[in-house]
Parts: sequence; structure tokens; C-alpha cells
Amino acid sequence: MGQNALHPSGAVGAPVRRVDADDKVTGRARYLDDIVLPGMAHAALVFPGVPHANVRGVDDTRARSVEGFVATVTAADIPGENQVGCVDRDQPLLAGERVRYSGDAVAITVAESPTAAREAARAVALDLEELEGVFDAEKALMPDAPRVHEGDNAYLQYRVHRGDVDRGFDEADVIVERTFRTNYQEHSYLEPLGALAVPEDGGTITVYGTMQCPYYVQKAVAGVLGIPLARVRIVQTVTGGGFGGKEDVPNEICACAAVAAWRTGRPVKLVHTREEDFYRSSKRHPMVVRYKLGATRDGRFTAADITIIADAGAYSTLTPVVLFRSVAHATGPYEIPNVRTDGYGVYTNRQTTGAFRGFGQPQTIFADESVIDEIADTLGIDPIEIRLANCLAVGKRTATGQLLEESVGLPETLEVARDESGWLAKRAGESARAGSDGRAEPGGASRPRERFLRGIGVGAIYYGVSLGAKGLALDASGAHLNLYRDGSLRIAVGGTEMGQGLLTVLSQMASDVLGIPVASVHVDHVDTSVVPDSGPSVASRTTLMTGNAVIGAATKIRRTLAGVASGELGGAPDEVRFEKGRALSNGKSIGIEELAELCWVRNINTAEEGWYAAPESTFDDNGQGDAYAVYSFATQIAEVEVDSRTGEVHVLRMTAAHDVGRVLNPVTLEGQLQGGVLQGVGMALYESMKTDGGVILTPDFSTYILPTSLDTPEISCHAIEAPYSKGPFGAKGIGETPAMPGAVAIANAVAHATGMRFTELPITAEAVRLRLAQEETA
Amino acid sequence: MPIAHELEYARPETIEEALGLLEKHGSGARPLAGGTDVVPAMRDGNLTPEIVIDLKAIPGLAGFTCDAGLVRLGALTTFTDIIESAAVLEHAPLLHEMAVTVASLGVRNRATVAGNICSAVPSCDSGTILLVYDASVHVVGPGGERAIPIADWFTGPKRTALGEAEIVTSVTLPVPSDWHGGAYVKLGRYGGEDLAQASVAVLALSDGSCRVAFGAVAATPVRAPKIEALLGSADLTDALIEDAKKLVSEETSPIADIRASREYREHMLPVMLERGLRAAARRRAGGGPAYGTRHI
Repeated sequence: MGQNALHPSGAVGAPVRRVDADDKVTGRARYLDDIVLPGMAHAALVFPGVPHANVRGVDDTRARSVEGFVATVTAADIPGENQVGCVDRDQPLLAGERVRYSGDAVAITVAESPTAAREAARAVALDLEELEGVFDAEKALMPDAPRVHEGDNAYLQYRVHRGDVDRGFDEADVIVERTFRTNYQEHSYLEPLGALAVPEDGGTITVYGTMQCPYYVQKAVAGVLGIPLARVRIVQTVTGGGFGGKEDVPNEICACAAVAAWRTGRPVKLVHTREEDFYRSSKRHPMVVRYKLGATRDGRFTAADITIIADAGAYSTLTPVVLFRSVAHATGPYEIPNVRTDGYGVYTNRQTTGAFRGFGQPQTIFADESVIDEIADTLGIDPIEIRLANCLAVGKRTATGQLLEESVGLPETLEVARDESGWLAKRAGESARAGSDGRAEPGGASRPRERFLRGIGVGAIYYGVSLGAKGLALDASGAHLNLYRDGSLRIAVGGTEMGQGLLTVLSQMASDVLGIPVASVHVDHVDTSVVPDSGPSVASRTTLMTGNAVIGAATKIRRTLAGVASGELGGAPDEVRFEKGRALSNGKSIGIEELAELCWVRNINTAEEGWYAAPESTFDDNGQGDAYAVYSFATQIAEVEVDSRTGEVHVLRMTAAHDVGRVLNPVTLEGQLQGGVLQGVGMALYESMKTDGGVILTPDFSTYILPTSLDTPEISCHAIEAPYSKGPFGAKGIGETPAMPGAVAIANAVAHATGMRFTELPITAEAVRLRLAQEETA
Repeated sequence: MPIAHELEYARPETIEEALGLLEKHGSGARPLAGGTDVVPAMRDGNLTPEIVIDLKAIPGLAGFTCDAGLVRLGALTTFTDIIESAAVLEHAPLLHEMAVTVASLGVRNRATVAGNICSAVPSCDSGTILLVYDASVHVVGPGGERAIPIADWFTGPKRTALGEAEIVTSVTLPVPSDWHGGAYVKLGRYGGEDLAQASVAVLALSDGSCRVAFGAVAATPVRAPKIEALLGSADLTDALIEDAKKLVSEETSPIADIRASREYREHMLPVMLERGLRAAARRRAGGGPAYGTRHI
């Protein structure tokens, strides 16, 4: 991986092997479904079969005769509040009165095996009064549309208004306006959702589950059981991928298992099949984005007018936080003096939509980066040049008026991606198509089309790290570090490992602060009874927030050790250095394990707490303020070859340049980049959810396809280091950005290759071929 | 998810024993070879036999032979067996080219050609290839053995000429002993494993004639007699290929499904036919791409 790494002497920045690699590769890692407890029963959910209905009755007579039947749990059996809405309180755990989408659970059946539980669930008879549904966000805005909840379907609005948009368009020499549409995207993590709830002594309950946000789950379980948080313990099991899909949805799964366990007094496991996961889990919001951008003749952006309609599905879930992010970032990473962005969240009788890597931004990025390319084409300016001329940099202001004071590596990501991809030559290679005035003409329509058309395209993005001004409260994280008398260190944290490599980078950080080998450090998965509420593991915040908490606690321990070491070796405590397992002072050294033993002998505490809170952020009624503490930046360039006879788009190469603040581990970083790039390829070309009347028609990987290794291009990764002063070792979040610029870079490359601009994703072979056929006959 | 319904499992060691079980249970019995279609269908609840009769312990159904003149695939021959056979690549390379496109490695290790044509979905990869080789399906039942020409085998989507109490014992392909070329062109949505949205098989023979079959664009895999008649034994000139492409709509009747639209299939079939004809002709002439190369 090409990078400008600072190559520090310690573990941070080194290609340390993932600490969980052996367990995962050998199959030793214990995922949720691997856990079997004595007396355990199994739960299944009773689905309504229709997307919108009043529930008049639930009859489990036939279910009771299923061999192995244990119990049926309905809304009436919920001891606490029948409510799991995590922002708006609009979502019952069990739809006892009204079904609002086809994945709503009406009841839970419990039996001795998963098979019997599902058989019992199918045998439950529901008396439903079907209601007319609404399955399209734009139609849901019509005054006569069926209402999903009591109030208007358009239940949510955010805006960013800045400057004078009308004047801005008056100043423009060129204006491009387009409407873009995106589809659902399924998270497709390897491990489906699952939970195991265990009633325990003293009126407590422990819930094990695959999840990103154990503290959300703790609140949801306490709420539905009507018991205090102190009686609810959540343990995150080894988690096989999340991508946002395990942010809030585990609240529902774990709460269902908990209610069933509470009712039966037995451990109850609930694990989704892949199909159930498709039907019931949240997805990337389908969005309609109307985008209007103006620029002067020399390529300076003057105004943007943007409307975003997000299909929230049947319940609000995380739509408020997702839409906030869409609206706050909708202009893309550019300084535009006049902005009017209005975003609406709309209820429909469809699957709920929520967090997915990129969190509401890939949809608006598809719009802004497409329109910018059209403006550049019209003006005859190179797409990267026009981005460099307008992009954010230190000293510039975002659309929310935030002054950027540090860590803005965006211009460098554009330059590095341009140079590493060979952009200038490849972009010019298509100049045969360009007219004499330098303007590109559509797809060489004037001459016989070549069979293979090549193109190169770019996408640039920014991403506010952590929750920002409209995130759920509590943007802080904790850690508990215990240095044992033999010099080994155990770390408990509130941030989750979901496959992204958190355990490894935290081990590296603690290793560097205390001068002990990475092998001496062990980091546990989250147990809510050990570490205080640390917020969610989302929004690229975990390495930054949890990392700072770990560094804080490790620094306290180091201070203790330094005091003991200076007593033993001489020299001042604050001049003691820690490296390679030893403390050095006064020209002498002592092993960390000896220091730890000395502490033990002398009754000195070597366990410490760490706590890190994010800087304050603001967002007023006009969407002005310091929306996020810091931003990550990225540019990706896609090279494609389009087979004009079949419509197939082959991505030949992706060049990804990401400003990460500081590289903590080049290998895990490259893994993050490659995986995200491939999710962008999937969104751009393949992932196409088909639905009909609120029912998903593609609930498996035979009908809903993901890119495979055979569809994987060469991926060239480049890290840019523009350090963030408040980040751990200067690092910023990297979780989301890899999945963000790729889809539009591919769309822009297809436009460059064919002259055809697509305003809907995915750009399937079928879509390309049929559009080419239209042009050929035209 | 495990299979939800109770069922009996039998593993007979002779054909007679298997036929006895079939006769006893009638339509409640389901023969099982690789199980890559049967087991998922049972898991999904779409197939609920009283008994599955696992044929894998019957010695007479195993093994395959491949000589100049005849390929005989025992009913238990898997796609991986075919791919790994140097003899197949030499004598019936088109079979090899088809086999590498089937599903994924794990499925190919279990799935059998006989099972593929017994499931008889219109997109089955084996169907078009067996059609252009003029294969025969050998079955045995209460009435004894019989050979069914592949042209009579497929009777509708997921329907075949196999009798209720019969099982397939082998499939034989008469292979032209002199030089010939073939091509299998399969349309998927991406590089990964996919069902054929449309497929074309071409076998170009030494006398200059071509056999052509289409898959996934009619109720069954179908031969294309009008195209074959037009091509005759003439040189495959650009003009002749263009004329052949115009006949595709008369030989096929594609439908729209969850994977592809009718319109897209109609667009792609002529492109695929052209690529198949050109590749097969080049191979017949001793050149062309190696077998197993994707044509789209």
C-alpha cells in the first residue's frame, strides 16, 4: 500500500497481524449460534404475510399441538413497555394492534427446536383486517395517501440554508439539474442476526448477541421487561459483520429473545435465517435526490439547491440521524456560498431503513458527484480540476458554515488518486470523442460504436466523524484497563469489534503507551456490566473514541509505573521511557513485569478507567453550526470497460486515496478500503432489491447478487495522513468512507465511456444494454 | 435451517432395491443423487417427500467412460468429474466448457449431470449441451430398461419423460470422431455463480454443419431447427450469421423473471448466437479460444 506513513518505532503504524485472525480462520471463534446452554429453548417470529393491517386476534390453538411447543408470546405478555423505537417512540416490539410492514412480528413462538418454533409460528392464526398500503415515498407524500402512523407520512424534515440561493444561480453561467434515484442495499453481513437471552438469579437477565451497540440493546431490553438497567447485562458475541445493519436492529431481536426468556423462565435463542434477515432487517434508504448546481464559466460553484426524499419504511428507527447526515453533507466536500438543502423522511409500508456504511451519504454523493461531472463536461474543465478548484481545505467553510481548522487532506487525496491512476493520460485517451471546442460529445454516437468502451471516473467525499450535532445524546466512550502482576494487560471497552479490526488497533495503542508487546494485551468484546455506556459503534467513531479512552487509561497506568520506576532507577518520573517491555530511566532499565510485581507487593493500584467525550457540536434551525468535530476525506477513481454488445460493465481498477489522519495499521486499513470499495462496486452495478407491494422478491443471494472475487477489480490503496490533533496518535475514523465514493466514480466512468449518464443505481448490464439499444434505434 | 418435515431416508445398494422402494412409495418417493436441488427444496418446504432414496451407494450408477465415439456418464457423474477429466476435454470439450459454468465449486463437487436434467429447469446448463450432442438418457423401471432421446426428454418446465417408478442410470453422448468445434455461451448477471438468464450451445461439425440449442428462453432447453437448416453446411460468413440472428425470435420465447427482463434476453440472444457460432467455427478450424473461456 502506498502511503506517507510516519513509521513510528512502536506497534502503532506497523502491520500488526489481527489479534482475532487465528480464531476466525480456524473456526474456533464462537459466534452467537455456537453457544448452547442447558435447558435452552428456541424462538421464532410470527409474520403477518401482509404489509398493512389491523390485528383483530391471535389464535395459537393449532400451534399448541406442534410437538415441542413451549409457549406463544404476544404483545399482552410484554411486562414493560411494548416499544423499541430508538429515536422516535413509534415502534412496538410486537405489532399487537397494527401491522405496518410485512416484516413486523405479531407474536413469538417458543419451542424445543428452531424447526418446531417455526412450525408453531406458521400454525398461529392471525385475524387481520387488511388496510391499503403505501409503497413509494413520493406517493406517500400525496394528501390522499394512506397514513402509516397518526400524523403525516412526511414526519421529519431537516434543512441547511446558507446565503442567497437565487442570487447564486443568477451569478451562474451554467446550471445543471437532475433527479437521482437509489434502491435499497442489503448489508449482507456473513452472520445473520441472533440473540440468546438467559434469565438469571436476582431478577437479572443476560442477553448474548451479535451486535454493534450493546448499550442500545441494554436500554431496549430493560424497557420491554420493565426492569432497571442495573438488572440487564448485554454481552456482545464475536460478530460476523455489521456495516450498520447491527446498529439498532439487534434491539428488536434481543428484546424478543428477552421477553420470551422472561415469560418461559428458560434461556431462549432467536437466530434469523438469511431470508428472515432480508425480510426484517433494515436497509440503506432508497432516496430521491433532486439536485441543482450552478457554476461560473471558470468552474466556481455559486449555488446548490437540493431536495432529498428518504423512504424511512414503516418506523422511524434511525432515519432522523441518517437524514441529518445526508442533509449536512449534501453539497459534497466543496465550498459553496449559497445552499438550500431540504430533506424529508417519509413513512411507507415497507422495510425499515437505517444505518448502512456511509449513513445516508452514498445516495446524495451519487447526485452531487454526477452533477459536478456534467458541469465540468459542459465547461470543458477536467473533473478533477473543477473539484480541486472548489474543494474544502483548511480555512474554508462547509455548507453548515463550519470553519475547518485542521486535518483536511482532501486536496491531497484528489491529487494522489489522479497521479496514481494515470488519470490525465486515460481521460485524454477518450479525447477522440471530444468536439473541437473541448466539449465531450455523447458516446461517439456519430460513428460506429466500438465493442469495448473504456472510461475513467472520479468521486470525492467527506464524512463527519462520530455522531455530530443531531446524533443521539452521549458521544463519549469508556475503557477499563487492568495491568496484572505479570505485566500482561486486559482491556475492557464499550466499543465493538464487528470485523473492522478494533481489537487489534486498541492492542497496538496500549502496547505503545506502556511499552509492552501486543501479545501481552488482550481486549474483550463488550460486556455492559464492566464498562459504562459508551454510545454506539457506528459513524466511524470507535477507533477515535474508544482509542482515546484506552490511551487515557493506559497513560494513568504508565504514570503509576513511572513513579515506581524512577524510585527504583533514579531520574524524574516524567522522563521515564517505556519501550520493548522495559522502563528506561537514568541510564538503567527495569522490566515492566518486575514493575507490575512491585506494584502488587506494595498495594499500588494498576487498574484504571479511561473516558473520552467528543468536542461539542452544533446545528441550528437553518442547519448552521459546527456539525461534526472533524471530517475524514477520500477520493476514489474507477476505470471501467463497457461491452457495448452485452451492456456489461467491468471495473478494471479502483484507486482509493483516503485521508485517515494517521495510519494505525496499514494491513487492517487496506482491508477496510478493499471491502468498502467492493461494496461500492455492488451498489453501482449489481445490488438490486426487487419488491412488490411491500414484499421483498429477492430475499437470498441467488436473486440478490453481490460482487464476488471474480468481479473484484485491482484495488490500489493510498493513505493520506493529515493528523487530527484530538485523534488517537492523530487518527480519524475510516469505517465508512471506503464504501462512499466508489459507486459514483463507477457511474462517472460509465458516463465517460459511453456518453450515457445514469441517474438510477444499480447500472446493471441490462440497463446499459437497453439504453444503448434505445440510442442505436434513435 | 434444518428440513422441517419428517422423512425416511433409504440408501439402497442395488438398482432392484431402489426400484422396489420407488414402486412402494410412488409419488411420495424422491430419488437423490448430489442433492443440490432436492435438499434446498426440502429445506424451503417446496418438496415434502415421504422418503428420499439416496442412489449414491449403487455401484452400477457410478463412473463414466469417455472414448472417441461415445461418452457414457453414469448417473452419479458430477460436474467436477467432468471438469477434471482429460479425456472429456479431448473428446467432448463442449461438455467441459459447460461444466465450468455451473454454480460454484462446492456445488459442482456434488451435483450430477443426471440430476441436472431430472430437475429440468429451463435454465439447466446440461440441457443445451446434451441436445447438440444428440444424447440419450438411459433409464430403468418396472418395465425394464429404455433409452430416451434427449430431444424427447424435456416435456415442460421441471417436467421430463421419466416415469414415476423409473430412475436414470446413465447418459450417453455420441461424439463425432473427426474434428469438430463447440461453444457454450451463458448469460449471467456478473462474474459470480448465477443461473443462466439465457444460454446458447453450438456444435460445429466437420461436414460444415452446425447444431444449435438455446436454454432458459423457452419452456425447456430447445434445439433451433430453422437456424440449423439456414446454416446448412455453408461457410459461416458475416451475412449468413446476420441472417441466422434474425431467426432467433422464431426459435425462442423468453419470459421476464426476477433476474432479467424479456426484452434484455431478446437483445442478448442474437449476440450470444453470433459469439457461439464464431467461437465454434474457429475451434473447428483448429484455432479459437481454449475451452472453458467465457464468451461474454
